[in-house]
Amino acid sequence: MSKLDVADVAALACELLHVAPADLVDILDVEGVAGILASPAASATVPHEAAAGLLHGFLGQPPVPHLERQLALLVAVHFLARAGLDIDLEPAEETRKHIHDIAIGAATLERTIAWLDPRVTAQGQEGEMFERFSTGARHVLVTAGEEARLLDHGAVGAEHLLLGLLHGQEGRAAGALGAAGISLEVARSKVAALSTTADPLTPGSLPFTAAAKKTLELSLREALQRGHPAIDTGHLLLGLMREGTAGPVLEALGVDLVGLREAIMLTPEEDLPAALEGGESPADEEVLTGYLDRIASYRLLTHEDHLGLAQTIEAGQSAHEELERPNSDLSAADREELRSRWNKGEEARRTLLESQFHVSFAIARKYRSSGVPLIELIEAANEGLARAVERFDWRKGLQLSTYATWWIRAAVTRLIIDSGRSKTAE
Amino acid sequence: MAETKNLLLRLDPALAERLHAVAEVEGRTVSDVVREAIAGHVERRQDDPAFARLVRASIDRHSRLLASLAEDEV
Repeated sequence: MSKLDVADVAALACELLHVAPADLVDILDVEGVAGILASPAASATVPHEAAAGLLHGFLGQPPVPHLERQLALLVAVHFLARAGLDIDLEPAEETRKHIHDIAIGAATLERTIAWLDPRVTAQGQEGEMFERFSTGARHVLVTAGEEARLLDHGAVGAEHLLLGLLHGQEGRAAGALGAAGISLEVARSKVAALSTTADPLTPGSLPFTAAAKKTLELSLREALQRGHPAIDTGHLLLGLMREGTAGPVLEALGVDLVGLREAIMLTPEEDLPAALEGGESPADEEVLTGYLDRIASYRLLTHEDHLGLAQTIEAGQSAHEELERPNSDLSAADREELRSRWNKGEEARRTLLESQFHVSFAIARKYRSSGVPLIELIEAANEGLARAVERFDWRKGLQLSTYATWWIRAAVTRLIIDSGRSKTAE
Repeated sequence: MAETKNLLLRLDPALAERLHAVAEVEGRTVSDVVREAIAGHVERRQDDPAFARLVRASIDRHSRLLASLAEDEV
């Protein structure tokens, strides 16, 4: 987890006291703060347990006179926020009472851990939490949003996360769910029948329900408890089963939960996100940094957006054909109109391509061990993606990412085979 | 200064020598120089935009609770 240091705590105390650091230094017990931060309770792997350790540490041995309760709370809240986690402290009186109990020694650490457990959830896609997701798991979050929209649900719930997992082509969750005989179509119909999500559909990215946030936090716990710094699709599925919110859907599908859990545990964990992995070569690292920055700036689109853009591309293509047709007697105004449609189509093609670069990147990275430089793998993957966008038929009702995956993988494996041949020839 | 606390610092001899030299040249005590160094370290943290944004959001969100806890401080 993101550990705090003495400067963090001192800066938090300055904020609460409205004093300058130079004035705080005289009254701050620097060694005391360092001792609390290094204590086993505050260094627990599971975030809410470490937050409980911080509360007990700072309330048991206050490092700044007359500031024990506010500082202890703010340190714990800040620690969780840094990890991309949110804490619900309502009703405030109950929190005040619990903090009082800790301060007077009437609450044990175990009781505080149990008290915090249901209150800590993920913040969604804003904080550090999202950076901890593997590429496949991030893709699941995006497709979960698309699924919620498809069902006219105004928020992404745990059941939509399950549908997002079923979209995965290569994740270990998709493998385990596939082996359990669950198909996306059947699961989607069960979700539609069982879902209780009542939020109205709104434009823009959909919020996560409380259950979905809890699932994400539980997924982080699953990952950390297994010594894995990133959340992959398997951890997401384990989180879903722990939360139980997707339970009714899984039960309705007749899934053996124990068997499913075992199947996930037996599959190796997926690749780490680049930010958490240290194994890239310096050249690859440079490629990764620049490329990730670029694709992170592109907007992620919904299935409906894909359909709209595909239609605009099609209209642009037919306008182009019309313009190119020999002996056409188009007026200057007609030609201008057709050129405008063609330009819009090309713009839509760029947007559609950019929205899928994360898919081609995820696939290219899986072939790093092939010996082909990452930049070449990415280029081949993007060529495959361009072909997929070229041939994508929006009338067939397919997800673009599902369709593109096949083309991307084909292009990358072709490059690897050709590269092997050229090496043999040398 | 309301209360002060003694702090034991273990320093590399060369660094300790430099610390004394700085204090002597500037006509200040070693404690003052150390205090200033720690304060500077905390100031840099305060100036970190990501830190400031996160702290502001946390304080705003829990302001009512923090105010009630202030009443309980002894």
